[in-house]
Amino acid sequence: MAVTRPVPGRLARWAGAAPVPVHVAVGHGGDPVLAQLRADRRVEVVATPRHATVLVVAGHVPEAARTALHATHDQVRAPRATVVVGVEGTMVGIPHAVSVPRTGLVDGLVAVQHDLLAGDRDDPSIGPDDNPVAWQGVGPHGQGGEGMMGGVPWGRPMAMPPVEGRDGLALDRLALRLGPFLAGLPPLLVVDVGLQGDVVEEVAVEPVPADEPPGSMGTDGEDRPSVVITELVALAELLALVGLAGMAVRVARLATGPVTPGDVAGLRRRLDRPLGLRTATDGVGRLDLSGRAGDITARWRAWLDRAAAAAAGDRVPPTGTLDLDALAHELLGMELGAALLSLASLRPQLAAATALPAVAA
Amino acid sequence: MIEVAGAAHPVVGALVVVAVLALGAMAVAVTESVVTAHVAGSPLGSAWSRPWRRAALVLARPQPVTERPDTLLWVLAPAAYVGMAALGLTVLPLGTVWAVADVRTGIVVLGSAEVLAMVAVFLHGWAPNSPLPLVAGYRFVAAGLSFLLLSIFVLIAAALPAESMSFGRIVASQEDGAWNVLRQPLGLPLFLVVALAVSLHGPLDVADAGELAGGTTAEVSGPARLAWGFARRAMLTTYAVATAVVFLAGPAGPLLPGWAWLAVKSLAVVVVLVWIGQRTARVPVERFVRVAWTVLLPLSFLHLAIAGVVTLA
Repeated sequence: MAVTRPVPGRLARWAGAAPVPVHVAVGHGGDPVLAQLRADRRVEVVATPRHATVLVVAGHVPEAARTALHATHDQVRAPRATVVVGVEGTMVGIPHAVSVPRTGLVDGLVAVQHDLLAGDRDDPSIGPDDNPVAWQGVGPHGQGGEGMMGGVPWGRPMAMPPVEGRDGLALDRLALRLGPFLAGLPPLLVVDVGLQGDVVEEVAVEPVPADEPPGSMGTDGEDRPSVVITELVALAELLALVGLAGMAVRVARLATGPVTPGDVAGLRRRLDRPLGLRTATDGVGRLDLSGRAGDITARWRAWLDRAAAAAAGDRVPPTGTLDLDALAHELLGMELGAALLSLASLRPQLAAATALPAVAA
Repeated sequence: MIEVAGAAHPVVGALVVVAVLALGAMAVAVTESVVTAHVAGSPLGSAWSRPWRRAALVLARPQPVTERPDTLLWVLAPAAYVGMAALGLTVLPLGTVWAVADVRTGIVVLGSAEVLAMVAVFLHGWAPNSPLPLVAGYRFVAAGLSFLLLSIFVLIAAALPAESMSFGRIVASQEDGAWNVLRQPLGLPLFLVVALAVSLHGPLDVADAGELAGGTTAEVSGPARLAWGFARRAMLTTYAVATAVVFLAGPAGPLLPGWAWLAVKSLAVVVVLVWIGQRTARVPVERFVRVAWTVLLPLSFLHLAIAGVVTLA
């Protein structure tokens, strides 16, 4: 029985043959699923829930990220669907989600898209579609607070000049929370930024606290992703962020199969050119963290080194984690795009940081 | 010598402009799909039909919704952007003896269209009332000031040997002498920078950037998204045609009719631009602005000076 109006015949036939646009909410251990989706031509991994028809929840999403996951869910425009991989929908608080095993994931997505176009499926919103804070009519002018700029319309503070600006700019500061499911950011990372224009003027980087022993669930009981997958998925995501969609697919495809050192060397030849990936990363995101200084180029070269070593069967030392306060300090003053690319270039380390169990506050 | 005639009948002109932009946008979409598939190492067979399927799916999706969007501007932004692509196209010679309106101030019209396109992109970021599109819109304006100047100097340099600001005369001057790509070798790469930046493509797409969740498109879905995708590709079409006209003598060539030569040359420019887009990563906006002011702009001065000396000699 149809729950929404079906898309008319000819349009539906064409649309039904299109790759399924998915927004992937990546949790702990979700990297293999992400690589699988990016590598498959029947799927298109998109940059925002607004461009998606299906939300895919990959890996384990801890309790503390449920509200954000539900907000992401509601940002996909109806008619929409949610697919969870290898677990039941109730485990992420989305009971109407379709549960699909890893092996049948893409077939499942294609079937779901078909149902959506036929009008046979639509997920209801999870959260209420109203103001989180009562503000209309509050205050002397109904602006929601005291003074000319004191309102909190839709529960968000208005952009205000900082009391003590880093650069002495008298430009309003916009407070913004990014993550934990922003495309391309390391999984389960929340970034609170204060922006003046597009310059990061204040920043805090915080992982969503884990509530389960990491790696114990969410990937069909597989072990934690191998070094090769972790590093290559990080590379694929970086490539997608800087607009190299074709290369991102190529790298993701490599990550889904057995990798030889020769594959990695071939990849390096394609990417390590002055007008290749390096256009976006040379001299950008230069960070000095725990003795490992370098720009984004240095970091993705290290990923390739590690992937090559792992593919050759050598033992690769663990990534190690990061001092997040020091990281936040280094991000100050960067252009927002450069700051987000810098975070993406720390994906393996930050994934390790978010996988740590929560410290009791 | 090529004589480009005056204004066409407005209805004929409008139909031709719409047809060229539509065909051009389709050609750009297919080229993007094929080049991306090639770079990805995917089979090329289905790459030809992929853009239509994706367009059908986008069309079948609902319109975007945000809190308190500026709905009027949100609708107008893609329309204005396409409008500027159309305006630019009207002054370009599309056949050996035919332009929609080969006005004497052609390069001023194209320059104006470029400036107003910047406003359209900014409004597309402003209208949804959402932070990442807004940041992307501001970013584009900051970068825009630097590439607009490039475009002006390159076009003036091309006007010098033609002794006219009409694109028809610029074509004619290349038929008499050498093509501008040989006569003014710095001009072509500088103009390709402008083409990529103003049409939001490849390494200079600062407005719809992936690291900002799609930039000005972050909130857009459904027909509005299709309209914006069409607008960007229509703008790339106009700049590909302009590049072919200014540097490759546009419709001039033996045997084939003028429009066919122009189509072949424009398509070649499209392929080059899309190829660059899939090979070269997006330039960080700060570096783009720095390089534009410290390297590209001085180069365009030099380019103009050389063009002046060569013309006088």
